[in-house]
Amino acid sequence: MKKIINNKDQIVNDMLSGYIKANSDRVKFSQNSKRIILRSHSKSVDKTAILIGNGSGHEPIAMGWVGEGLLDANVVGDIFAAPSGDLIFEGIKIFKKNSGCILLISNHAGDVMNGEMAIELANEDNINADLLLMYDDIASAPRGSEDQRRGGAGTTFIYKILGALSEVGEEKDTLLSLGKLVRDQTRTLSIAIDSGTSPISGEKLFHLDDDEVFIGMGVHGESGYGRQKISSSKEIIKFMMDKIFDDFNYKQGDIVIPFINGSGATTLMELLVIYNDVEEYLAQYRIKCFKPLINEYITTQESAGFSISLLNSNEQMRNLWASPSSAPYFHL
Amino acid sequence: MRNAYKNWILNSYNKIHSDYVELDKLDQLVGDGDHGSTILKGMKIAKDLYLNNLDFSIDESMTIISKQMRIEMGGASGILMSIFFDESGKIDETNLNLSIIDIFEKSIDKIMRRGKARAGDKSILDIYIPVLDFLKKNSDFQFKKNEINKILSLSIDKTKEMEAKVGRAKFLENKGLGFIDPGAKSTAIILQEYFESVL
Repeated sequence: MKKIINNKDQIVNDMLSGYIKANSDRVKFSQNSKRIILRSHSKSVDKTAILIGNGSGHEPIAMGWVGEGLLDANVVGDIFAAPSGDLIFEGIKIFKKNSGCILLISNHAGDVMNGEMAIELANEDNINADLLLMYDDIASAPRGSEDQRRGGAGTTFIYKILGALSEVGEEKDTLLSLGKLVRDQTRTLSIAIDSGTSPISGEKLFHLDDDEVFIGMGVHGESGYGRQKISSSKEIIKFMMDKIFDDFNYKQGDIVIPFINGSGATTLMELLVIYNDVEEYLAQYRIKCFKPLINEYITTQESAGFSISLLNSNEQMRNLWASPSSAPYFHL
Repeated sequence: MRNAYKNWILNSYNKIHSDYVELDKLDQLVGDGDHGSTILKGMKIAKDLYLNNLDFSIDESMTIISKQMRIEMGGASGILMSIFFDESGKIDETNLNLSIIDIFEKSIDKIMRRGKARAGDKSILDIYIPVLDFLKKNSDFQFKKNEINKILSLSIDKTKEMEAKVGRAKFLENKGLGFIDPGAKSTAIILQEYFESVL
C-alpha cells in the first residue's frame, strides 16, 4: 500500500484535525467529540438542523459539506464504518433546542442500524428528531423495490436542497416531504474502472482486469449489472443512460440536475468528456440540464470510476440547488 | 462468576488477537477486509474496561463494556456484536442454565430487530440460533461443552452455503456463496470462550 499516513489507527483523527485547521473560519469540532464536525457559526434554534452520520474514507463527503446553506453537522465514523448510534445521538443532542432535527442516512446496513438507534435515543430524550433514509442506486434493487436500493451519489441532491431550505426556516415536516420527493425523483448509476486500496487492510477492495469495467458497483465494491469490456465514453454512457431511462419515466421538456461524481482517481478531463456525452444523450430526448455538479465528491480512496445521478427537478428544487453555501468542499 | 467472565473476556481477546489477520482475510472475500481488525478493537476495549471496572457488578460492567464496544467498533458489527455482551450481564449463578438460555433468547431478539435479519440470512444469527436450539433441548448442557463446540464449528461451515440476504455481502456478484461469514466466525470464537469459562 502506498499512502502517506502516520499511524493506521490515527488516520481519521489526523485527517479531521487537518480539515478543521484548514477551514477554521467555517467549521469546528463539537466540544464533546472530535468526531463531530459543526459549523463555526451555528444556525438559529428556530430552524431545523440537518445532520448526517457516515463512515470516513469517502472524502470530501460528508465533512466537506458542513456549512451555511448545507449541513449543520457531520458525525464521522471510522474508515468505511458507520459511527455508533451513541455518537450520532451525541451529535443530535447538540441541536436539542432547535425546532427540529433531521438525520440523513444513506441506505447501507451499518448506517441504518446506528441511525435508527440514534433516533430512538433522541426521541426517548424528547428531542424532535427524524430520520430520512436516502437511496438512489438503480443497480442495487429492481424497480418497485426502490427502498431496498443503496444510497449513492444522488443523495447529494437531498443534502443540498434540504440544507438550503432549512436555512430559510422551513418546518421539519415540509423539509421531510421535500426530501422524499427529491429522493423519489433521483436516479443514480455508477461504474467502476479500478479498485482503490483500503487503508486499514492495505488490500484492494475488488478486482477488475485491465480491460474490464463494472457497471453498477456500489461505493465499497458491491455488485450491480456486471462486468464488461471497456469501451468509449459514448458507448458506456449510452449503456448507463439507457438503464436510467428504463428505470424512470422522463419526458420531453423535463429539466434535470446532473451530478457526475468521480470515485477518487478519475480525472476532471474524463469527467467532462462524460458530461459532454450525458448532455448529448439528454438533448436527443429534449431534456435540459441545469447547473450540473462535476467533480470528485463521494470517493472510495483512489478508486477509478464515476457515477451519473439525475434529479428530475422542479423550480423550487433548482432554486435551492443553486443557492449559495459556505461548505468548504461544495462547489457548483 | 466474576472470575469466569474475566477469563472469558481475556481469552476471547487473546484468541481474536491471534486470529484477526485470518478474519480480515475472510472479510476480504465478502466485505472490505477489516472485520478482524474491528473485532480486535472491540475485544481490546472490553479487556481494558473489564480489568478497570472490578468494583462494579457484572451487569454494570457489561453495560459499560458493550456501549464502549459499540462506540469503538462502529458500523454494523459494533452495534450487533455488542448486544450479546450487554445481555450477558444478566447471568444468574443460582439459576445458571435458565439465565444463559434467557441471555441467548434476548440477544437473538435484539439482533433480529436491529439487524432486520432472520435465520439463514448469512449473519451472526446463524451461530446464535443453533446454539440456543441445543441449549433448549439439553437441560444438562453444562456437561456438553464438546457438543456445543461441535455445533459452533458446524454452524460456521454452514454459512458457506448461504447466500447473504443482509449486509454488504448481499450485493456481491455471488452473494458470498462459498465463503464463511466473518462475523459468524468471530462470534463462534467468542461463544466458544464463553462456554469454556462459564460452564
